[in-house]
Amino acid sequence: MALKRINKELQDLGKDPPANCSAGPVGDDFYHWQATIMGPPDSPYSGGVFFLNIHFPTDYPFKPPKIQFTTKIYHPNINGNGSICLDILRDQWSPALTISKVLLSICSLLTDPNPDDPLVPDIAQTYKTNRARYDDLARDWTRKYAH
Amino acid sequence: MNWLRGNTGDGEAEGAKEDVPQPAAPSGSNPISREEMIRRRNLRFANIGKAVEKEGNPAEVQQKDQPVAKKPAVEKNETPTAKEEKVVAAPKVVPKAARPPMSTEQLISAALSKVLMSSLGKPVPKTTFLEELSMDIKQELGLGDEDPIYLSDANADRIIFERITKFPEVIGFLVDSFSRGEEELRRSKNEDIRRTVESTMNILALWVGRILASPEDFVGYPTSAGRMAEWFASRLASRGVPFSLLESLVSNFEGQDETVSLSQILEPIFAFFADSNLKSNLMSPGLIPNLKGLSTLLSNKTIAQKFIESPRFLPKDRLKQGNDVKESLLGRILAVSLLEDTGLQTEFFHDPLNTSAAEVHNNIFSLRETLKVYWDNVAKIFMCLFESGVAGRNAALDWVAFVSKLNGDRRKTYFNRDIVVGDGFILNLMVVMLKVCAPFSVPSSPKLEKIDPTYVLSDVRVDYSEATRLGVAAGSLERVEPESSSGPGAAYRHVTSLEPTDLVDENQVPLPRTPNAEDVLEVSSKFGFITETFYLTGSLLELGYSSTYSLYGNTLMRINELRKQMDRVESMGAGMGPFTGFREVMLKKLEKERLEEVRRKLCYDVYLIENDQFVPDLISFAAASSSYLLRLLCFGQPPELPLSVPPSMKAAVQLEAMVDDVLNIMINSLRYDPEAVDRSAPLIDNILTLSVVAINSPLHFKNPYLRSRLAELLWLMAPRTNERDGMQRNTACQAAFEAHPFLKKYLMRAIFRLYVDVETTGSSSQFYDKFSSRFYLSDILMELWDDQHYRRSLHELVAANEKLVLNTINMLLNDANWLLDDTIDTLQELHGLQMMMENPPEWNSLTQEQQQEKRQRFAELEKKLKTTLRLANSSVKVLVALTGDGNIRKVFLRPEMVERVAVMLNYYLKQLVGPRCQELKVKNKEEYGWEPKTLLTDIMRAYLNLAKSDKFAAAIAIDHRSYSEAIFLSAIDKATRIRFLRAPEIQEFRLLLQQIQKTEKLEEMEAELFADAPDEFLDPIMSTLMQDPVTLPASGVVCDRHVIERHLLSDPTDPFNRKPLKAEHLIPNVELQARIREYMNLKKAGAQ
Repeated sequence: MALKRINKELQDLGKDPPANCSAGPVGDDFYHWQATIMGPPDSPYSGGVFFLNIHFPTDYPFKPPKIQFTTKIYHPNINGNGSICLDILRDQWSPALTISKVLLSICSLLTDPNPDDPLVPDIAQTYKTNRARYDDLARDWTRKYAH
Repeated sequence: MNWLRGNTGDGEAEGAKEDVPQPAAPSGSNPISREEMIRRRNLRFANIGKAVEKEGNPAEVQQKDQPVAKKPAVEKNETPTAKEEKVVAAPKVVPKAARPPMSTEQLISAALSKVLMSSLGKPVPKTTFLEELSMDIKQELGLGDEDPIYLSDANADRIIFERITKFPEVIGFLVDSFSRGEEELRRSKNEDIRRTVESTMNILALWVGRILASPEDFVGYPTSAGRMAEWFASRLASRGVPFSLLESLVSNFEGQDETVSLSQILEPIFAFFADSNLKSNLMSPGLIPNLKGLSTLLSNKTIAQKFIESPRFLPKDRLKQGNDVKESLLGRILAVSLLEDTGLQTEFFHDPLNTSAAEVHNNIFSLRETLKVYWDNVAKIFMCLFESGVAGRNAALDWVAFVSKLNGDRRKTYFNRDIVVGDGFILNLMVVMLKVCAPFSVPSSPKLEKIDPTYVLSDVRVDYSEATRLGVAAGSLERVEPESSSGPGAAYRHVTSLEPTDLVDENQVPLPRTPNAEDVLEVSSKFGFITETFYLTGSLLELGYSSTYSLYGNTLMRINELRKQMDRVESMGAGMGPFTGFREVMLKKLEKERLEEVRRKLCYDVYLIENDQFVPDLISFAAASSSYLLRLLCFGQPPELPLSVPPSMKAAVQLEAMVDDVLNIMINSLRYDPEAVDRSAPLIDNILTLSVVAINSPLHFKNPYLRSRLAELLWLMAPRTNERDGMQRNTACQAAFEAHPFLKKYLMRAIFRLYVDVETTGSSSQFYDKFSSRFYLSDILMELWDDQHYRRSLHELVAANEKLVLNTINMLLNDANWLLDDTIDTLQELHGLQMMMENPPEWNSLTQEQQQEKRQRFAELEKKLKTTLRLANSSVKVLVALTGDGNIRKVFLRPEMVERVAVMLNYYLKQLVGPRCQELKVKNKEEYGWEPKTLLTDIMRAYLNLAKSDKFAAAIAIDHRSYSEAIFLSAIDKATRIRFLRAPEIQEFRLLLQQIQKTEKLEEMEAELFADAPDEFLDPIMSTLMQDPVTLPASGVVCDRHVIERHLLSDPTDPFNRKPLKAEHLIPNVELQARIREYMNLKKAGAQ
């Protein structure tokens, strides 16, 4: 059913790739992709390469894709399992959105975390109260896990 | 008898035995013969010394102690038959009976001497001889030593004064004398005696007042008003005080020109009664008598009036936070609680873990019985105030309202327990108010009609302006000028913005219009007692209820948790040297904590569990509230659905908290004291009706979250074949479900409707809340599945409202898909971790920190898997049941539905039998509820159910993702080997495969044929060639109808700009459709 749609998305990604992101199927399974995001230059993640897993549920695109970081990252909206707290991946999803648009949203989440709706309250607290320490830790983790 | 309290204590020896009923008898002749009297006298003397024990006959004992001065009066009043024992007991009467009758003067003197227990002139046994006063009087009157002095009006005041100033126990003397005076009045018919006694009693009452106000001025020993008040109060509490004394006090001191005011007299007594509770606990022997004493006092309406006028009654300026209300008079009285009293807790439950169950039970029993007596007596005090007149009633209601207001924090999920009153206090007050409401809080009571629904728009006592209302959104009440000029009250209009679609039901049938819809609701300016107590009790429930039960629930959980922890610690290798010490320390610590929690639990048990006053009263109140609300919703008619629109204004303005209270009461009672629900069986029908009405009426019950909580209530009440979550089948509820015509008619509709509506509840946790609500609904559906009545009503629903059923099935598939997907993910991850842990080289290569992280993750996944599987299994069961019903199956086969159900089933079939199925293997799968065989059986049954239609085979054929012949064969193979399907079923499955293969070929050819279709012919969401293109009015985008309709089932917005969108608004794009058809025909022609 959704094969045509997913195929279309893959073609579009090839034709017009989004900045700092890439994505494509793992092996011959069209419903399981891997994506990479380059740490945005104006963020403490700069220089890092982050891997993500993408799984298309059977009701995609009526339901959002399942996306997880596989690279560890220090971020208030991304937890130790790589789960991402992003509205468009939950109840703000729309079938008009695509993987490309979602990846771009994740990029901007790296630049501008949302500490008011945190998945990791500790990190959100650090982000709010001691920005320098947050930057240091995020850079440390990037160096340690994403290089 | 005007005694409000029995004669229980032992006061002055002389007066103690006087409290025996003595009916007045005609005076006159004594028909008992002299011989008989002598015989009886001898008999009596023979029994001397045994008299007291002998049958405990009080009359006989009394006679033995009769002072001589009493004789004439006694003799006069003897009756021949009824009072025989009197005669027996008065032997000394005999010789004197021969004397000439006494003069009036003598009779009066004898009566006074008896009343005042005093003698003048010469000492008389059993009286106090006032020697100094006698001498004074003789001197004044110039009498000789042997001349008698008669007690009379002229010297009564002096006698009393003498006793007050020179003898101890002043209060006792005054009160007892007053009582004896009463007794004398009852006996004596002689007008002269009566007059003198009455005036003496008045003097006594005056002195009681004076002594209480300023004892230092009169009493011959050091004392204080407080001390005297304590004497008087103790007397009230122990043996009571004649009611007429209170009346006399009131009439003597009520006037404003008195130097001593009534308040001045009463204030220290009130203070004593209130403050004595500071030193009492629930089991103090003085507690109940003191409460009784106070209610005796307050049963005099003027005294009750003074009570509410006391500066300590409601010193608003001194009461800043919730807890401060304990400083007020009533606060002190309500502050007696076991729940906050660690001393008493330790005393009664010293070591409950090592005490026999019977003993613990006994202790709970005696605490509970005392608590009930305490509640009864506190309620009496409140009733005294409520019944004392308008002012008293208002003041008491004000007090209750003020306590609610100041303790509003208790309504919150988290609050600082140090600044509000404790659970015990609020429960006490709640119980008292429930008792006050008891006469009308029964669902069938006609008095419920006296409740004025506009109370919640008034601000008489409670400010409801911020409250959440059932059917009125915030800000949509508009204040208008009242139409009638009669009252100063406000009036409100509901500014409704009913959409045209709101006025029709899901099936596009217009809803009945409300007859004579009240556009403007006028608020009364005065409210009756029933109205006030009903709503104030409601506010108290909010404050007391949830927090108390959640604490209780937490305690139960904590006790379990601690037990588990202890088991774990105990199992930590006992013999391992360095650990032994640590183990002991840990165990001790856990044991201590557990003891505290168990104690707390037992104390709450006293209040909440098997308490035959508390829970039944609550359930009755909940049922009465339900009945009241139903009457408002249905304009007094029997409930019928759909409710008319616009909603009854009187119902719409009611508080959401009212339904919350009903919910909380029922949910907690069913969880913690189901037997109480059984005992209240006749009451629950109304609650069930209200639940079903509310779920079905979103315009009348605007909060979806509230309606979703009703699912849990229905679930708890629904019949259950097995025990679930430790919840037994509840016979009362079961019976209600079986014989409830309203439920049979509307429950199915409610289940389906709510199943759809809980998708969006507005709560931040709605994504997860919906799963639990739907779990409850599914469970009810499954329990009732085989009930013929309910099934018939389901079929009627499909026939009348297929759209609702379609929406429900859409949600069911969404959930099943999400939950199964999550289950598979979790199982795979769990499997991976297990493999890693069991592979020593790999596991040991990890750092300690990494190992710890993995272990933690493992525990997380285990927990998550249990929850997810429970929900997933439940939704699959419903799927199998619904597809198995011939009337419902067609809904699954609709164009927007059939492909997705096929894709979904294929996907999970592949997961279960496909090449990666080994990755779902985990240890201890039963512990998580993971039963792959059952799931596979269910999924294959769903295939077979749907295979009855060709459309289904076609839908499977176009699924490129999961369907393959190999998977089907593997499933058939497994089913054959493990034999979970019967041979004919397996044969059917083979036939399905053949049919799929046939259509598969056709489909492949078509796909190739149209591969070069231009983009504008493709659906923008699915990239498939459109069959029935429609334009979305808001965004202008063109989509294929079945695609956008499928989207709209889950999300009623335009996907391209999120504006609201409904299927009816889609505009067919005929022109594009024609061009697509042309293209297809051309292609087909070319191919041929």
